[in-house]
Amino acid sequence: MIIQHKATKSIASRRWLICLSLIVSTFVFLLLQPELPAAYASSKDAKKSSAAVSGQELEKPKPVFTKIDETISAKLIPRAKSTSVIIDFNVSKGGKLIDVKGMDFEKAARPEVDIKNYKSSLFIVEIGDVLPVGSDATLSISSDFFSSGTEYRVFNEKLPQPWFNSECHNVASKGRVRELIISIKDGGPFDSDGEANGSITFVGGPRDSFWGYALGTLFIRFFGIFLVLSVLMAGMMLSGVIFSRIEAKKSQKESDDTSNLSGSDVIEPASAELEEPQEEAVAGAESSQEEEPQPFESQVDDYEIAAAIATALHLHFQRRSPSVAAESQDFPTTASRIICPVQTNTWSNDGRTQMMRDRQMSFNRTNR
Amino acid sequence: MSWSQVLELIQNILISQTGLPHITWGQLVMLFIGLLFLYMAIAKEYEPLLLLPIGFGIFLVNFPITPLMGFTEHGTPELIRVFYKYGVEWEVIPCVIFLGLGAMTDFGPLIANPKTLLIGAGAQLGVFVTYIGVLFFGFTLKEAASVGIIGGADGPTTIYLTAKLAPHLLGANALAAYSYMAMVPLIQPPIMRLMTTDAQRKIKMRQLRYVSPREKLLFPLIACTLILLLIPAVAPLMGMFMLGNLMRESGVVKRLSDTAQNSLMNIVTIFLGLSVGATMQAEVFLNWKPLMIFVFGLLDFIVCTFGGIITVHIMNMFLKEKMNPLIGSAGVSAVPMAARVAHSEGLKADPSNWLLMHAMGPNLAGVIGSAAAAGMFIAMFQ
Repeated sequence: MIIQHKATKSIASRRWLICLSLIVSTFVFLLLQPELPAAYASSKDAKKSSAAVSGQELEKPKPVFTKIDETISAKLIPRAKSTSVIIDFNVSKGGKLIDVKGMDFEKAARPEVDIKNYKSSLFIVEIGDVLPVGSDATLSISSDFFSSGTEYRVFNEKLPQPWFNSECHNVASKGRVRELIISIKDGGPFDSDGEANGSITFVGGPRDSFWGYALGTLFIRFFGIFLVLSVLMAGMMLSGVIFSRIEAKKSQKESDDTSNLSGSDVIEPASAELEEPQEEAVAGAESSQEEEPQPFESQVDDYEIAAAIATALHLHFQRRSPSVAAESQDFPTTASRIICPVQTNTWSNDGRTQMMRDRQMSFNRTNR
Repeated sequence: MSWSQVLELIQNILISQTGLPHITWGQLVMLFIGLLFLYMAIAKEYEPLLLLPIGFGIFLVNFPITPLMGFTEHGTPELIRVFYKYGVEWEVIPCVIFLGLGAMTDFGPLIANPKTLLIGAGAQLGVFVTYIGVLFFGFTLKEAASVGIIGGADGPTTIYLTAKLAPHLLGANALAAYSYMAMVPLIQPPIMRLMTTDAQRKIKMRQLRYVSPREKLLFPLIACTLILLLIPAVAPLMGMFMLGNLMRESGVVKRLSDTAQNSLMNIVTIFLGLSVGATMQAEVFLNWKPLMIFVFGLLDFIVCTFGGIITVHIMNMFLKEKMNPLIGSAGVSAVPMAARVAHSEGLKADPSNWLLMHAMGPNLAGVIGSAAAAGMFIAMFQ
């Protein structure tokens, strides 16, 4: 019956696979149809939704700027983050911070530059009052979002190689804040206006290695799961030992009490599992004599407990029986007979099969 | 009113108030897909509890200009949008489902053999392999994480993580997760046979020890404490899961436990299915990403099965009492399907080898492992 069930399941699963293949084929067919995107373009809502499909678009940082004293702060949710970060801009010497604005990456996109490496935004920093004209100003950009590997890349479209590294100093600051210190020469390669005029326009953004982060975090988090579950395993093993001892002490005490009451001819229970059901069964029997008749469900429980006790006693005595020991010569040790009672006779084999099926049913969580 | 004015009025009504002129090829395809899933659910009874509302959700929202998933002019959400917003977007329904699952779960096999927790961890290998794999195909980190979790084979966890990180992929991810969960009996056996020898499949494991009710009662508290101290981000899922289990094991709130297992679970399943189905509008769903998700979802399941079995092989190098490597495949948390598959493969090798209860350990560990993986991903983006 089980084999038949499995065969049915397997055929059913194959049909399921065929249907999924059909869906996938439909997809491929549709994707190859040139008129399909045009059909979407006809709908205004569709345009919005299509744009929303792109994860890059959804995760585009939208910085909001605030100015406090000489510091301008950008608050934004970077790519691959769900919480906002704050990036502070400040000119420490050689000029005055005039303004900081966000810039779309598309304007600076080049084939050799991967947007994924720029998790926060690109910024246009304007510095004025650079005196004397043509001298250096020092820009400080700080955030707890930066790591020791963060670089600050500069974009200057007037240069043949528009993207280059600013070679900034990455310094650890208070708390977990890191500070990127960049020296910018008025009219130099970092200055997008290209003129030594006492004003600097500095375009660029912080860069972190996307693949380095993705692979690094992969290993750390995979082994993190092992760590978490190992800690849980250790906790459970420890509690298992404690509970086993408590149970053993309890059963020892109860067995001592029983032998004191009834003398030495009382049969010991085959295992600790039997004790509680026996107690419950006895308690149930007593209460049923005194109180109203039990509802059907609790009667069923009693029958089940009685059946379980009968089965256990049967197996227990059968194990002691010399005829059974002679039958099971292939399994000479007691331990192996306990582990494999299925070898003893057809009665216990059937019983075990039935019990295992019932347990299997109790784990049926089809509501998932 | 002249005839021309009457005709113009009729024309206006037909154009602006009926759906027919607005229907697109994409919507027709989605209607077909919706009907296909309804057929699967009703005629073939594949995961009908979820595929029926999902199928009908797809069917409903792909009729043009229907006021179901949008917002009114005043910004009030329309009917299914309300279910989606408060149920899925606010992360309520997956957590309530976890409450029900906790109330349904007997952790006895896992408590009796805690070593199987490591198998649950090993079976998360596919989650991370897929995460890297899809990054090569232009997915963002958040999208990659939400696709990776499909291999954890846990529907509510997949929905929870996807709703949090990449809501635009919710429909495809949920559909892939539930579809492949239904296909576990087809996907896993060839990998299991490939990765084990006949002798290994015949390994008999010792009868699990007795677990006292007191031990089962304390398990949700111990597990909750340890997991939440290490991964606080998983608190909504794990907290509800362990609350459900505590209600079950305490035995003093049978009414609450029954409600969580049955009525509440059924109610939220209706809203979850409908909301997930309703996210699959043609203009969002018909692109190359869902296709990739289905392909990588399958790969994910295969690698997760591989990861579970290989973990048992590695553990067997150090254990005196060897474990049957077939139970490694149950490390994916498709409860109890994966455990049944391990059990039936064991029976094929030796008809007297009952692996079901042994496989339930890694199966339950898989639930905790996939929730832990989801927590890791959530923490990564915080």
